[in-house]
Amino acid sequence: MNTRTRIRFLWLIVPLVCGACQSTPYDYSAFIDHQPRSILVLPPLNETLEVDAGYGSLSTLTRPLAEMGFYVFPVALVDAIMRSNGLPSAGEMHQVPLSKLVEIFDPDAVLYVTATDWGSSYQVLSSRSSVTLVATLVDARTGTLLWAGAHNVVQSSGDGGGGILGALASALVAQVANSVSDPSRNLSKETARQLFGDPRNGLLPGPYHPDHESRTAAAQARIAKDKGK
Amino acid sequence: MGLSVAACRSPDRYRWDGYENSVYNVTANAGEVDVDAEIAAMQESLERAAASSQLIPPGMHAHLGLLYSLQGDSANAAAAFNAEKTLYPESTTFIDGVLSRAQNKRH
Repeated sequence: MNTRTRIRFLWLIVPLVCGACQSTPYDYSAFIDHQPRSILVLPPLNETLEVDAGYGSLSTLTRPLAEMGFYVFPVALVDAIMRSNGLPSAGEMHQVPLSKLVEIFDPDAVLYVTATDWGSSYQVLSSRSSVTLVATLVDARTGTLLWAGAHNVVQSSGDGGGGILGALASALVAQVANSVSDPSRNLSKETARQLFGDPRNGLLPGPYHPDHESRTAAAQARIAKDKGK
Repeated sequence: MGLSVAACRSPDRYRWDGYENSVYNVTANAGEVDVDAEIAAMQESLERAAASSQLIPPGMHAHLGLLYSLQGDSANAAAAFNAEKTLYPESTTFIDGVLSRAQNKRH
């Protein structure tokens, strides 16, 4: 299954893995079997109307993954190398065969991300920013799907008290502030953190994380218990 | 929204400083990077991390190597790439490839 098909297929499985609607935790069998240590994060696909969503989201992905205990390849250097090798955008980069990625980078796993929601909208009494990230983690050598997830975070002004004048003032402040610096990148930091770190459906902590062994053992116990049913 | 999650988050293992902003500046505005400013910022981030109890994040040395490469400073770039390889051996294949391509370009 090539990468584009794999990512389209994700739309079928996303409803099963989204945090709000799943009743059982994620099945980490494949993840534990392959236990990735190093992750190659490719520049995200941008399926929004906001030009900045691709590189805007890329810059927010390294920190939460590294803090969860994985080695993350330097994303700007990876991007520069791929661009200088005739791959001008994320679309082309996501099509590179895994064997080629293994030859150049030798990662344990590859993370394919798509930004499907980005940016802010402004109404009279409120403003609203929204970021949605969809991700799949694939074992680099076998192509096995290790993990998939999607998450949306919305931030709005005008929720607070202060009546109409308060709402108008805070919406105006938000719009002026947002014209100076894009809040989507800050929102993307939080989205990525919640996506990867969700205790039921996020990634299991990687080898650099102090909870790596305990959380992996707990997941293994749950898998064994479910198999025994 | 997310208050309880933030309250029980443990402190970061790594010291990040300007890394995320630098990644954004270099990738989103590739044609207009102020490389000198980015190098200065990354050098400062590395110094602060070394002086702190937090660790240098994956990719930070290599990112500085990229910046030196953009400036044409191949000696400092090689030193930074080797620092990444030493700190994070997972990067060995990748860094060796970067170093040998840089080597071939010079000759």
